[in-house]
Amino acid sequence: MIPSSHVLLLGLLQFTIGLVGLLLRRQGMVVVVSVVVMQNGILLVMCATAGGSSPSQVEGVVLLALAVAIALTGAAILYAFHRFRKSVLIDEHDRMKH
Amino acid sequence: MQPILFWVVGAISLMAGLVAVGHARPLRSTQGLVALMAANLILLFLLSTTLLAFEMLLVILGTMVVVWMVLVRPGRMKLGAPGRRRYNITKFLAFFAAIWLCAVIWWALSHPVKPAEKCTEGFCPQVEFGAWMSIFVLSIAAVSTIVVVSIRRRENREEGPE
Repeated sequence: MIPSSHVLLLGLLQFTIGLVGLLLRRQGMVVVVSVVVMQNGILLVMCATAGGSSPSQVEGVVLLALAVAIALTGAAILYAFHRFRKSVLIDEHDRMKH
Repeated sequence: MQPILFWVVGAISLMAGLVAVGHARPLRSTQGLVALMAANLILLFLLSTTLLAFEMLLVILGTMVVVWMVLVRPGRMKLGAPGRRRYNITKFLAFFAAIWLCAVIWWALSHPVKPAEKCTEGFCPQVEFGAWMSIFVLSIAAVSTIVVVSIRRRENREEGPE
């Protein structure tokens, strides 16, 4: 049996890695990947706190579907940006700011 | 046994996460994400959350298909290259690899993995069966992919630049 603290620690490390990538990288695809890495960490934390019960697994399935939806939406937005400005660097896409 | 396996796979997942976040090329970053999710699949089996594990397996397969179709296939495989023979050894190898993978996955699914609710310490055979099975299937998939891609690359080198 794996102790919950181990799973929590691993989930926290994955979340931290994703957060660092989200804050530091400019490449759009890597930012989307960082968000998915963070959500994988959250999934592990959810598994650790739930203890394998069925309702929590359903919540995990919802979270996983959400992660896939976010990744696909992010990739679609990046594709549109790339067609529009020929760049996927996120700090060059600031049209919403003005 | 389980905590050791957990931390070995956990270390692999962390390294894959570092590659996914830190690599300069987006393709390598996406491949790192696939490796991270594959490691998390094994972790989910170890945690007895089989429903989530199979959902994760579907997500991994979808990600691999998207990465393959959008990023890898046009550049590396040159599937529509002019002058290529219609039937070659790579196509047959890929066909048999796909049949072999389907057979292994079918065999794995025919052995249901039940959550080890009463297993509190020591060896939990049903849980570890799922984890080792996913390692086995992923290893076979990786080896098949490497073999097929390397043979196709060798063919591309022999045919020379277009």
